[in-house]
Formats: sequence, C-alpha cells, structure tokens
Amino acid sequence: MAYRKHKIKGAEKQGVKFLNTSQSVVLLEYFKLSRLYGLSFGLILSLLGCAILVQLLLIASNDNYLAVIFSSGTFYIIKSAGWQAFLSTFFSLLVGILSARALHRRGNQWFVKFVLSTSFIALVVPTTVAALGIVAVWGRSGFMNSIGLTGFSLFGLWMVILAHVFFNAPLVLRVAYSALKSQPNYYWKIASHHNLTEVEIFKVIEWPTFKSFMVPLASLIFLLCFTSFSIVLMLGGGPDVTTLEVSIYHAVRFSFDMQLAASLSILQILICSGLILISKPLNFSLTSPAPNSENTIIRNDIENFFSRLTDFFCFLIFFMVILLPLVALFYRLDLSSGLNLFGQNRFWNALYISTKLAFFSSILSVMIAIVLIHSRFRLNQSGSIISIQFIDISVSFYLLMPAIVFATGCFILLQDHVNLFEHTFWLVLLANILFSLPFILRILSPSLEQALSQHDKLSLQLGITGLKKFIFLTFPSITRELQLVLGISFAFSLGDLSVITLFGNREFETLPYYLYQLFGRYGASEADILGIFILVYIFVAYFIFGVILMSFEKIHRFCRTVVHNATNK
Amino acid sequence: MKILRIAKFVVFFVFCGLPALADKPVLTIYTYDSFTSDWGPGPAVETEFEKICECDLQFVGLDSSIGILGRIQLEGKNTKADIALGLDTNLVHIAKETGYFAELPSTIKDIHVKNSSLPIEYTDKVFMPFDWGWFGFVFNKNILKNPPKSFQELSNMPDDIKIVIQDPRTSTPGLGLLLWIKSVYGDKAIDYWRELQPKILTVTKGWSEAYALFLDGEADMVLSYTTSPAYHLIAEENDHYDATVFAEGNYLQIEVAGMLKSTSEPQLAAQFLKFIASPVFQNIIPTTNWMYPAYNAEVPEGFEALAKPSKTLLFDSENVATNQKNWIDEWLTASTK
Repeated sequence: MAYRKHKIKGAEKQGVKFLNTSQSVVLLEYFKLSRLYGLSFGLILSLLGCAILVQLLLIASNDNYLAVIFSSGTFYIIKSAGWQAFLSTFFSLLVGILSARALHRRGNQWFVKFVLSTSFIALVVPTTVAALGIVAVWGRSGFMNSIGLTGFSLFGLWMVILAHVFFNAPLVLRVAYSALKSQPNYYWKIASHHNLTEVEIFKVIEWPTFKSFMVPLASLIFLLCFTSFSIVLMLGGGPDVTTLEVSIYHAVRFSFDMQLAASLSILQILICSGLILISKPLNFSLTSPAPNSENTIIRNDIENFFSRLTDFFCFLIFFMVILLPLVALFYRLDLSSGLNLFGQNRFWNALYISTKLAFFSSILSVMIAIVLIHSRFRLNQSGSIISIQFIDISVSFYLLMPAIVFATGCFILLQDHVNLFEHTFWLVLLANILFSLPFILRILSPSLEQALSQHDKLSLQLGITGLKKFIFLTFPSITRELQLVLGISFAFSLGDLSVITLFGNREFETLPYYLYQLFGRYGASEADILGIFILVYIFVAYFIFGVILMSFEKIHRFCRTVVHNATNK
Repeated sequence: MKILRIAKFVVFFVFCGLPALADKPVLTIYTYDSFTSDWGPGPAVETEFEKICECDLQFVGLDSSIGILGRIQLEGKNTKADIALGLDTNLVHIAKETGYFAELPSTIKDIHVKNSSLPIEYTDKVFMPFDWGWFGFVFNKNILKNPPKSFQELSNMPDDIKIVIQDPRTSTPGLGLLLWIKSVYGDKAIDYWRELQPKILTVTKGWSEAYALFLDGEADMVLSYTTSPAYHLIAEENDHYDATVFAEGNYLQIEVAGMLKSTSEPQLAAQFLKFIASPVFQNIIPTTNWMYPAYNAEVPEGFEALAKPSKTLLFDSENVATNQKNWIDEWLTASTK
C-alpha cells in the first residue's frame, strides 16, 4: 500500500502535463455519459419494478382482493409468519449479543479472529445446505439424538427458528462486537476503576451501545425471517409454519390461483416496505471489524467465576448453533452411497447450469454495481441529489419484492408473450442480479467512492480517462472489496433457491434445486455430499476470485513501474 | 460483417437444426418424482415402450403429484407435456375443467373398460387408470405393537406416537386422507382433524418425503398404501412392515393418465395410453410402483399376504371439484388452530 501511495504521489509531483481544452471537454462528456449510464439503469430497473407492481395490482383487483387480504387464511399466515419471525429475531439477538459480550470480554486475538471468520462462513452458506445441516443435527435421527440427547424432536417451527438463528446470530454478533469495540477504552478503565459489577457495566456501557442498533437490526432480522422462503419450504413441515412467500408459491405452483398470489404479493410488498423504513437507519459493514490491537481492554468482570461460566455457555451455544450443522454434515457422511452422486448426469448438468448462472450473475452484477456507483459519484459532484435518490430507490425497490413475488409478477406480466419456461436461465439470472445488487452496492460503494475521489485529480492531470483510468487507477485499490463482492454474489447465486422452484425442471436444474429434490429422499447421503460440494465450491470460487484479482493487481503494479521508469528516462 | 452474419447463421443452424435432425420423435410425460426414480417404474417403462415405438420417451419427474397439474396450468398451451401420468380419480374433474386435456381415443376406451381389474367400476372419457390401491398407514410391527384398527383408535394413541402425512394441497395421498376422513366423519371431519393434530409430526409436500422420514425413523406411521408393505416383503425380504385396515373402510386411489390437447405427438401419445393397458406395463407396476395393476395382470407372490380392507370408500370427482376448496380450508383451520 505504502509503495503504491508513494508511486502515485510521485506521479502527482511529476504530473506537469496539464489538460488542454479539448481534452477537458472530452472528460466532461465522459462524465455526462457515466451519469447517463446510471440513470438509464435506474430507469430500466424501476420500469420493470413498476410494470410488475401494476400487473400484480391489476390481477389482484380483478377479484375482491380486500376480501382475500382480510380473510382468516391470510390473517393466519401473517400471524404464523410474524410469530416465527419474532421468535427467530429474539433468539438471534439473544445468542448474538450474549456471545458478542463474551467475545469482547474473553477473546484474545486468535480467538476473536476465529469466531469472526466462523460467523462469516454462516453468512455465505446457502440456505439449502444449512437446512440439511440443521436436520443432521437436530432431526430425530440426527447428531443430537445419536449422542444420547434424546427425548425431544424438533420439527417445523423450531427447526425453522434454529435455521434463522444460524443465519442471523452471526450477523448480530458482528454488529454487536464491532459496536462494543468502537467504545472508547477509557469507558472500561473507568468501569474497572469504580469496580463496577457485571450488571452495572451492562447497564452503563453495554446496553446503551446495543440500544443504538437494536431496533433497526431487529427489524432487519424480522424482515429476513418474515420473508423467509427456502428455509420454511424445506423445514416448515405443514400448514402451521408458513410465510407469505411460501403461500404465494403454493398459490402459483399448486392451486394456480393467480389472484390469491397477486393479492398476497401486494400485502407482502406493503409489509416489507414498512419494515424496511424502520431498519433504514442501520448502517453496518459486512467486512470484519478492525481488531483494536493497541492494547487489550481490561474489564474487571473477567475473573468472576459466574461470568466465566456464562461466557463458556455463550460460546458453547453459539458453536452449537453455528458450527455444528456444518460439522454434522461431515459426521453423518456415507461416502459409499453418497459418491453415486458424481456418476449422475443430473448432477453434472446442474453443476454446469449453476456455474454458468453464478459466474455471469456475479460478474454482471458487480459490473452494474460499479457503473451505478460511478454514476452516483458523478451525480453527487454535479449536485443532482434527486437523481441519486432515484437510482437508490430503483435498486432497493427489489428488497421490497421478494424473489417469489418477482417471479410471480414476471410470469403474470409475460405469460401471454413469452414462454418463460424456455427462458428460465435469463429469468433466474436477472433475479440473481437484481437481488444481489443492493448488497454489492452497500459493500462496494464506500471504498469505490473513496478511490474515485482520490484519483480524480490525478487522472485529470495525467489525462487518463475512461476504461484506462478504471483499470490503472481505480481497480487496483478496490481488489479486496471486489473479491468480497464477487465471492458473495457468486455464493448467493450458487445457493439461491427461489425463482428456480417455480420454473425449474429436469432440463434446467441448479445445484440447490437438485439438493432440494434430493433432500426428501430416503438415505440422504447424496444430498449430504451435494451440500458439502456446494460449500466447498463456494469457498474455492472465493479463493479463485482472490487469486485472479491479486494477479491482476500484480500485473498492474508491474506495468506501472515499467511506465514509471520509462517516463523517468 | 459478412463473416459475422455467416457465423450467426451457422450457430443458428447448429442449435436449431439439431433437434430437427434427430430422427426419433419425443414423447414427454409429466409424472411425480417417485415414478421416475431408479427403483420406480419409470426406467423399465421407458425401455419397454421404446422397444415398440421408435421414439424417445422422456419422463419429467415433478416434485409432487398435484404439482403435475399445477405445472401444466402454469405452462398453459406451451407445455411440453404430451401425457400427464399420476393424477388420481379425485382430481379428474378439476383437471378436465382446465380444458387442457384431450378425450381418449375411442380404441383405448374399449380396452380399458373390458380389461379393467379395478375393485369398482370406473370409466372416464378423458383419463384412463393405470394402477390402484387403498390408502393406509404403514408401520413397523416390531416398533408399533398395537396398531390402530379405526380412526378413533388412531387419534386415541399416546401422543408420543407420531405420524407423517402429506399436504392435501400438493399430493394425492394427502388429498386422499382428507377425503377419507371426510367420507367417514362428514361435517365432524374438522373435529377429528383437531383430535389428530398432536400425533402429526409434520406434513410433507409429497409421498416420497413422507416415506423417507418414516424410514429414517423420524415417525412411527406414515400415510401410504396398503400395498407398501409388499415392497419391504418382496424387495427387501423384510416382513416387519404392515399397513392399517380401518373398520370404517379404506379410501381408494385410482391413479390415472391423460393426454394433452396441445400435444404435438397425438399418435404416439395414444400409443402410449394403449401401452398402459398392456400386460407389459401392468406387470412392471406391482413391483416398482407397489400398487395393484389396473388391468388383468398377474399379481406377484407376496401381494396376497397384504391386508385387504373390508369396505372401499371413494368420492365422485364432481363432488371433490365443488368442495375441494372448502374442505381444504377446513383442514387448514383445524391444523393451524
């Protein structure tokens, strides 16, 4: 880094060549273009969204949709989904916050790193694989029962809650831990100086820290659990555990009741909008919080026997919920019959389709994200706040519209014009891009905007514009974030089980869809192998993205040194 | 530019021309997943039919039986299916109302009336039966010592005895149980469902999931067929399994196949329907789909040991079509409190 900064500074000093007028005009034109790109993307996205919304409204209002929305059936779905989401949120917050406290109190560097990376794994594990693991642990013939903890059989609601805690407790842990870490050190010094008890510390320091993010984080988790689809589909077990999305899926797939589907979709969008508004103030980053390495915090509640015990239990529960499902997959692995999987054409076909989908969707969505951030940055420079908001809204619109609603909407919109079953690839690709875009923007935009503002002056002086500027200046400074977003969107696309459940068939299967089909079979060892395979594949892909990006960075450095030396001469 | 155009043409030709160049016509059959599995009838039926048809028979296994109908409705006129195989008589009227199904060719109608070996008389203009069986709860005799002999005994079992059933919205056995209870309890069906509720471990989307949960040891009983123990007896040589026969009678399922109006291979589809009634197809059924054959075919050894209900229950499909929604709502209310 230091080396690179030095180089750039060097270039700045020597960058005597000032722009002539024609070049600056070109530059302005270019900026105008880049603004236009973003706006037109925003326009396309919002047009599609509006078309779907209008279509849903039209279909729904054919029937007396108020009657559907206020029927006892719908009320029950909302009640069931709400209760499930409430419990999931509660336990996620409980497990996440308690283990964040324990980690903050007890953690040495090595352990903190370990826990944080574990929690990162849980964030990228596909829902299908997690569901498989959770059954492997908590099912009646699962790991827990095989070690003698029998007597309880978790099915339906509690399985779903466990799965949701699996995904959300790590999120809470990361947010809560970095919040605790961001508190100034003297808090703890004063606390130990005054010999505050654990309860007092919680009251005076920790609770106010947590309180700041509690409501938005809780509402985000509530939203995620309330709109949960694949987990509920796989683990829900019957009509008493359901969500609006699952009911929409049922209405479309089994009863072909498009009016019901459309009415429920609109209800879903309304509820999501409300929840998103509450969670709006939440601002957290998915990247690991920077370890506060200078001095370890001394908390005076550390030596207490009781606190040792509770911390131990917190970690135990955290690992039981987060790590055990993944370990259990390996534990019950039956290689002899599981390896049959690799002899099946269906597997290779699904692998090919999934890879194609994940590759294109990760590359395309990151490219679109870069263009969008670029435009937002330029629009910000020219002060058109309304346009920026337009882009933001058109992207985050798809957060309100869960994938099943999107697919249903597309189906209703296009059923008379296009046979969607022949274009499933494009539909799934589009859905994957749209749904990963908001997250990519969130992760990528801080560092990309910073890079853009840093390099603007330099590029003007050097006369490097357009793609060249991006490749030589911007790109090398965001490789780390690029690896992260590419990895995340690859994982997301590889694990996604939503649109495909409506349109998938034997000729067009993705790996998670295939896993879903295998899930219910007797002797699920093939499913276990497939689950492990998907996991390994995601991490290998992440690693490969890293290697490719790093080697690009190296080539750039090399090129720049060459160029630098040449200009020096 | 010219090269580009030629290249485009070549690509177009290669991709679009390939299926046209393939000499064999394709017959696509939508069915449920267990029919197409390695141990199901699918592979053998495919081999046998391809011997006589000069065609490529392709089974598409969908995730559940009612899903076949849903899928055809979703795809509408564009559906690739030539034949839908795996609905049952309860759904016949609902399926006909969609307007996607064609009437059976007259030659087939005669065969399937004459040679029928169904326990009741059954004819339909659009759908033809391919196998049948009674619904029953399957259990392991070594684990469940006192199997219930009536619905009342079933709901009176201790609460730690768990059963797995299928969702009546997605699966024909699930719908079968709904109708079974309805035909026994009538207006009081909702009360019975409430009584049964504590015993139900989970409700699965399709039969194979439910049966897998049962075999994995997650549940003590599973809603299946009185013929299912034959699988364990014949294929596994394991006589530990049995199915319940209830004093109130057992509900009948006749599985049917029908051809679609939109089929591009009507001749081939008709040929396949005729093939269904042939001894070749019917002899495959008992030891792969583990159901009784619908036309006079020999029942393999082991089937005679199966429990036989004293009374057969069946609603007519118009009745099901008019009431299905209400009855399912009733079940939903009962199972969600």
